[in-house]
Amino acid sequence: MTIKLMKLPIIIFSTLGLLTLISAIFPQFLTPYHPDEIDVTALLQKPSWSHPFGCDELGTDVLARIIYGTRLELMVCLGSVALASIFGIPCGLVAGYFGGKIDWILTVIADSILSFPIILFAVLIVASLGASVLTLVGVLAFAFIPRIFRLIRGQTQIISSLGYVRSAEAMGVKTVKILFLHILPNTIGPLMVIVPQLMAIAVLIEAGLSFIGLGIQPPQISWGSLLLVSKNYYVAAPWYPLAVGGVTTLAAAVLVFSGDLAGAAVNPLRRLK
Amino acid sequence: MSEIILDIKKISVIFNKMFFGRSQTIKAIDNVSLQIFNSETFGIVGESGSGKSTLGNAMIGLQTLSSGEIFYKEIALPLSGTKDWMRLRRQLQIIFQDPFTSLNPRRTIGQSLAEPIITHNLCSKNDVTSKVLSLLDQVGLNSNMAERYPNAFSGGQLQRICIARALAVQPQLIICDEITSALDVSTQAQIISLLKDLKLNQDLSLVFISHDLGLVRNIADRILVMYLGRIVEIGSSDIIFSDPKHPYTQALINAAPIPEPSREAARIKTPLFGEIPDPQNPPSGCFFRTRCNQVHDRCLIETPALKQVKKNQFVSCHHTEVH
Amino acid sequence: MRKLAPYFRFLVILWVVVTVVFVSLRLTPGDPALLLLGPTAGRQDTAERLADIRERYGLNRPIIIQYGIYLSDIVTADLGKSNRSERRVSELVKTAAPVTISLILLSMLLAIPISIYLGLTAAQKRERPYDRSVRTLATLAMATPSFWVGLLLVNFFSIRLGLLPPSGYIKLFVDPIGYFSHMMLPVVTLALYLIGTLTRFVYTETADTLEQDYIRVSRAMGISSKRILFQFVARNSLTPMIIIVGVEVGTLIGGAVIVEEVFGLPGLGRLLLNAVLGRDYPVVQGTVLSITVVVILLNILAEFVYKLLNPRSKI
Repeated sequence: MTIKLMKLPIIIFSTLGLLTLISAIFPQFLTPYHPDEIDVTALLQKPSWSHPFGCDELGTDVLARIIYGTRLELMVCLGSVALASIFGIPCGLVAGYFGGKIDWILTVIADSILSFPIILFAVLIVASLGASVLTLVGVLAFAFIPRIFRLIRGQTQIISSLGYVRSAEAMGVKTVKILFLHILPNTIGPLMVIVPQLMAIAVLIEAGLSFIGLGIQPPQISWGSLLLVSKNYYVAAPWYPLAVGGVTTLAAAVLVFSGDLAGAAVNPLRRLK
Repeated sequence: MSEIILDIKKISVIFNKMFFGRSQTIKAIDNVSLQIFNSETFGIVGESGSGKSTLGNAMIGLQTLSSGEIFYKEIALPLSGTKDWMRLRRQLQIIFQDPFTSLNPRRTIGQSLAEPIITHNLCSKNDVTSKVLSLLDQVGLNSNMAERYPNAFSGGQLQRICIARALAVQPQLIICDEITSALDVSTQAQIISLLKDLKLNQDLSLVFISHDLGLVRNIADRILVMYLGRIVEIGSSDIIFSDPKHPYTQALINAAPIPEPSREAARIKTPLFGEIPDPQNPPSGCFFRTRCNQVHDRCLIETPALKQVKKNQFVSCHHTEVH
Repeated sequence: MRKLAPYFRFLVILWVVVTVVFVSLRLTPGDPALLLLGPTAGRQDTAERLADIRERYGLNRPIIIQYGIYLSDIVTADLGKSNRSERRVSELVKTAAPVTISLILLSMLLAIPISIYLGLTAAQKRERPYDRSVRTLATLAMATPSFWVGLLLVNFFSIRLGLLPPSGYIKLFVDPIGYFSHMMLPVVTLALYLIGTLTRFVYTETADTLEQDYIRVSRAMGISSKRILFQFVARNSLTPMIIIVGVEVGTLIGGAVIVEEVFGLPGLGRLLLNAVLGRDYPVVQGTVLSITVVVILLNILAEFVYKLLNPRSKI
């Protein structure tokens, strides 16, 4: 019984994850419509069986636009987290393992980046470099590096004091091997907790920045750019913004929930965090 | 006496901890000198906070010294990264207290045991597996255990695996840092007898660190008693147990139960009173004076030096001169 | 001296932040002088004014000197002039700041009591429907884009029901009722996110504390569970909230930027966005810098208060 209850959310989340992946790679399998198809007879059409979320100002199927927007959304999420990991993980390992001056310096840099509110930092950088997908991924990655760094650093500090690391040291195992063979694999659990949370932040920041015109720009389709376009139709076609915002909220919430779930699996005593 | 393999010369270890913006200094080891001989078992006894584990780590070069030197057969223990470091890693090994965190949970037992063999190129690649199996056999474990992960084992089995891993490089000296304190009593006995057997089979010195006097008496040839980072008494096991000179050693031995009901009942119990002092603010003079039942004025001012009282017994106490 | 070490850390953090802002301008493709001059470039006296700017910021001199001038400007609180209105940036920030500060303070006032209550009660009724729904709603509140909620609220309360003004701002001292009716929706919008995060935080802390032995003992002694919850548990699980609220100030300012845009509030966010769109570089720099410095100072304050309340902490 308990196993069934534990497995249910995992089944739901993996189905949603699969759906997201298909939307990103083969969107044509999920919708018969094309996201740029203009249909003057269907302008702002109400939801119906053929258009479950209705049509937008150009008569395009809203669901199709949401599905086709997934690709860029996923690229931003995964790209920023991956980029942040490439820098954050090695720095965290080094700082946590060696301690001392290098730890102090890296920690101060990380704290400095953390003290920039992400949106403000994004505004500053976009003002300099201009709005593009690449800038967005870069800004998010930059903001995520200290978050991954702090996690890995803390984990490394704990693991470094454990017997298996100390024995490896006493055996003369090379430091690089100790870091990547003994310490890194044992930080995966907590990393799996923070990654979906960061992806949720990425979805929300993407939406926010696109809304103020500093994120992904139309005609490129992302959920943020759709939210920006749909903001003019809250009165005339409320299902349009509702559908786009609802999907965005659902995606972010599912990501946060799956982080919680991973957290419960890593540390059964703690349900949240 | 046989050959000296480890010569510890006046070492001190000082920890500087930043706590709440204030720095605190703790002298974990205070001016300790001693020698370890070839194929002996050397026991180190003390309460928690006495610096015995730090001393164990220092002995094999895992702890940076604040002052003093340690020589392994004329080679000064080098810092990690130097050429001698790798050579010494084959000679000096350590086993830790908690068997559950001593093996990487994400690697199989076989992988963990193969690591020292591969690191030091102890045999050709094809022979690694057979070497791992013979190690498991040596500590009395089944060969089918090599495929499993640490979570499949009990504490006693894990500790055997840790012993096998330490033996893999065929070291001269193994530090056993409280290796039985996480185990239940029956398992403790098995581990101790395993260590004794292993010692009979090879040319090996053991340093056995424990807070359990009974265990140490059972296994050690010589014993060191530590208190707040200083040597209290050091000497051969028989002499120390039959005729302890330092009031602290006397109290420890008195506190240990005797596994014989009639003698246990007759035992004069003079328990230690008080708590071990705060290592940041140790008492002046003799560190033990706050709990000693024979204090006089001199103990408040002067730190007692380590003096020989018998052929194989050294004590640091002002009272020993009276004897 | 050792006592000052943590504050030295904050000084270094401040320095890094200030330097990043400096570097961001140099990263921008194009002539920094033209950027600082802004869209008025092309006027008759352009060449002369460009020369002035170059002289003022040392743009013809080595980068180190430029950096030195920049640092000394910051130390003397001289953030330059807007290249559109010729007004001083510090003056613009001073006019806009009260709007943002009151927006954030009001949402905190609204969010903190609600989340404490929800978090504490949910943790007590663990794994029951009440607990599950509180946690689900909290997570949803956290995961909702704030501008979307804002626009939904405007659509409903202002356009459908006509109860509240859809946008704009009236000063508190001019017309208190007008002030609150204009602030109501933005505050609710911003508070929603905060309620989500804080409720989840209070819940986790409380659930942990409730598992502690001393709480079990008090329960075994027959002390009423309400008293245990609101006296013993609350004290323990709420102190760390000071730190979290300090950290969240940064996120809230980010949220405020967007909420101000939605509701047309003339705060720092509006100032910043208009400056970005108008390529008013001195204002962008000055606003980001002053907000970030305030956020850092608030975090220091939060840590300081936390240490006062919890002297055993190691943070």
